[in-house]
Amino acid sequence: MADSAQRLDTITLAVPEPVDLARAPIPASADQRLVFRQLFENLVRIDCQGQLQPALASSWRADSTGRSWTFALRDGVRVPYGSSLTAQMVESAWHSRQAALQSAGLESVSALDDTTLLVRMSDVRDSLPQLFADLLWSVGSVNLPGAPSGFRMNIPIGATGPVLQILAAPTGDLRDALDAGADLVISGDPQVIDYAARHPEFQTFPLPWDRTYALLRHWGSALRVAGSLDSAARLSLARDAVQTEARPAQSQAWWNNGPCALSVSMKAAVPTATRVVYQTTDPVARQLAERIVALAGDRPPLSVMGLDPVRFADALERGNDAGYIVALPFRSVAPCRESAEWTRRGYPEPLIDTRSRAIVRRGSPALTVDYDGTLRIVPPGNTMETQTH
Amino acid sequence: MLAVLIPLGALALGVRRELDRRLTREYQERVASMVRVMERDLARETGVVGLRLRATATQLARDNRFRLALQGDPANRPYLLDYAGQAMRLSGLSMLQIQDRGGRILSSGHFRNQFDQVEPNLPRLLAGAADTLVLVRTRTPEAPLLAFVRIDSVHLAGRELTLIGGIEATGRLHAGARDRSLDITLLYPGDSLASSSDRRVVRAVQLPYLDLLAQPGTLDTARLVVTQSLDSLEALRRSVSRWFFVALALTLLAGIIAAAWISGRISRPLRDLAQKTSRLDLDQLDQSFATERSDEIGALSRLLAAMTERLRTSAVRLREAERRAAVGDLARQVNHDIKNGLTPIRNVLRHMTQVLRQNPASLPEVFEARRATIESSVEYLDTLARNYDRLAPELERKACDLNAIVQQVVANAARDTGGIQAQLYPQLPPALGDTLVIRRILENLIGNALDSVSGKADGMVTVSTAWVRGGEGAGRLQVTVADTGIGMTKSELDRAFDDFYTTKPGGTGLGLSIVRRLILDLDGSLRVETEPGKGTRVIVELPPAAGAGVPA
Repeated sequence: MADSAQRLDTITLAVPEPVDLARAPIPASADQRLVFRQLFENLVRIDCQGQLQPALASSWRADSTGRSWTFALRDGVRVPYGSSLTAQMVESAWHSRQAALQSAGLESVSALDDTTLLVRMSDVRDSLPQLFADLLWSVGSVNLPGAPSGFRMNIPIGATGPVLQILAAPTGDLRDALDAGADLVISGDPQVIDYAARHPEFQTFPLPWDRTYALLRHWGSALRVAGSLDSAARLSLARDAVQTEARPAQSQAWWNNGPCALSVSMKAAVPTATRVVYQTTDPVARQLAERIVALAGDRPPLSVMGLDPVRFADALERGNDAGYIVALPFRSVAPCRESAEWTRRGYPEPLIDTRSRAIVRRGSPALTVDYDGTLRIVPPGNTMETQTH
Repeated sequence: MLAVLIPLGALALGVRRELDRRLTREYQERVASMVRVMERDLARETGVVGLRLRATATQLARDNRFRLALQGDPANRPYLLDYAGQAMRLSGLSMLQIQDRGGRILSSGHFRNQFDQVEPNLPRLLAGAADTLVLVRTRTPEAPLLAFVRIDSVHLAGRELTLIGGIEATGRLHAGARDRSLDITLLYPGDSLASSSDRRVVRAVQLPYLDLLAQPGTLDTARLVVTQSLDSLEALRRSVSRWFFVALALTLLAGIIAAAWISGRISRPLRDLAQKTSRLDLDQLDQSFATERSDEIGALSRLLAAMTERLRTSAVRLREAERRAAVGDLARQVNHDIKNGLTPIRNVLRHMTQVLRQNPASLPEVFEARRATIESSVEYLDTLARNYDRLAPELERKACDLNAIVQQVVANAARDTGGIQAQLYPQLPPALGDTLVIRRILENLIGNALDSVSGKADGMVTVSTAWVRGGEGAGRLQVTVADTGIGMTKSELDRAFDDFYTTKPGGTGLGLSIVRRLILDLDGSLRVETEPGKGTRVIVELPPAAGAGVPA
């Protein structure tokens, strides 16, 4: 995404609410993912077509065993706003997540010199695993100069690039942010998209499908949905139940495939509550929960219950409710880590996929998109292919 | 007491009854008023909901986007699905549902994602209660919803659409109950008011009711029951009763206090006066009627004291008179006795004078013959003189050991005869008297007692001493001579102490009269208890010596 009339040394990205930096670099929402991607960098990245691309590392190779991978860091690479990145810094950052190293199948990581990193895997891989693009293995910091907060932060892009200013919309309405001069907004709200479409100074682009909403039920749950959730039902969910851009869930449920497929265990007790629970921060989840309850009928009458993220996690852990609407990544580069969150909780039945749209003010710098919908500003002088999705 | 309690009780009962009647009537009025308010509110809400629903239907009929969506335009489908929610919020309704003829929900405001669900019976059931509010139990995604609902319809794009809309009921059910003493309860079909031991005033408003969450859905009747508890009335009645009993208790207490005061101020003193007066007799005039009271009791006491004083004076005079009479009698008796003694002597002298004149030679012979006569008379006169000497002994008042005197007298009497015993009061204080006189008294009484039991095999004479506490705090010594002899009749008792009265042959008849006088001279008292065939008790009381201690 690039406009010939490039301008601006500051690009304002409006988010609907302040971003919680405490969880960095692991995002819990699309806005956090967007912001953290600006603050943290991986050795490699996955483009919108699922191909690995260099990032901090310029190249990599495997040894003859296929278990050891050597990464060469790019010359002059710097962490955002900070110092030059060294292999030792990467090693140190990864060692701070020792438990995750083992669960990810990484036996060891060591810096051979300032620009060379050696990673040994526990098993043989024909190609570089995509997990190296997972934010868990990124390097960066939230300690930006200028006392950043969830409300406002400035992130320099590249050595001489523009500054990405991330602002939380004061009213929570991204339309107000657009009116106030925001250059970039990511949203799935049809009202925001419709509003931008009515303003010629904005362009709107669809981002990759990045979320799969699923209904998670424990064995023995009382939740019975009238009819089966066939494709027609999913189409209705996507078209009518939710007020965002959605489609029936595709069949490629990563949690069912691969070496880290979910293993659902039997719960000791049958859920007794008649609630379908969702996170209050997710309006799409609420709409899906309401539709599921409506389809379930009145016998027994179910109800929806919105919980904040902490209480939602507790409820998931207890597993005493009829069902949970969960938002899973559409595609996971670390299925074992992601699926580890869902083991012992039940079986997620995919419902719909959703995606957002990027609303870009004309004249903004070029943007690129990763597999997970993360937008990246292309630093000046950096030629990236424009790709379509 | 009854004169106060009966009217008090009547007052309390009357007050309670009147309170009961008036408050019950007031509560009934209050409940009826609340029911009227509720009925009026329901009627008003019926109109309001109807108007809002009609306005929504009118607006819906004019809406092109809805019409296009109804005709299958996919671009406007989201608009259709969201329509009821927007219309509901704009019109101030709490529930709005748009259904087609087949009962399929096209758009729902209170449960947006309930679209395409089918409720075919709902319009039919609600149509049965047209023009009234129906209480409907449906639900939102989060919870059940109770709403007052009406039904309307609109014809659009060749289709008949039904609008079912209403306002939330739960808050309105209690909004009118500003009076906290009233309780408004919604009773669903089949429910009954919780039984309560409290009395209540109950009225109800009936409402058509439809439970969409039940199977099968049928139009039924719910009741809004207004209840006025009569707890406060009961509390008031209990309070009145409580105060009545408090008044009763206070009245009783006041009565008891008054009675005690009257008793203390009047009855007891009168009783004391009566007791003292009853103890008065000629031999016991030592009762004290001294008082410092200035009321009628005091006046009576002083009157009795004066009377007692006069009685004492009279008793002294009487004794004096008795003594003079006795002396007179005694003088006559002495004259008589002396004459009796002198007459034989005079006769002998006259005979001897005659012999001397007529035959002096026979005078020695005649003297010898008549000398016995003279000696007998002289002996008679000598004896008489000794007896008369005993009548007026000289008294010597001093502290006497009464127990010792009794022991000695009893011991002396026991030497001559059996059947006598002494029972002595331990540590008896000394009496004020003359030991010799007391001895004479006891000898006389014991002699009489022994005479009484003589001839009886089991006859017994018991001499006992005692200390008797007096009414004024002082005490007196008491010696009792009791026998199990023949006793005395009343006539004998009445004359027993008369001078020269005797039942014993050869007796002088002076013994008991002397005893009585001696006792009186010692400031003592004497009384006799006797029963013919059973025996006699002679009780003598003597004053204690000055400074004598009071026995424990």
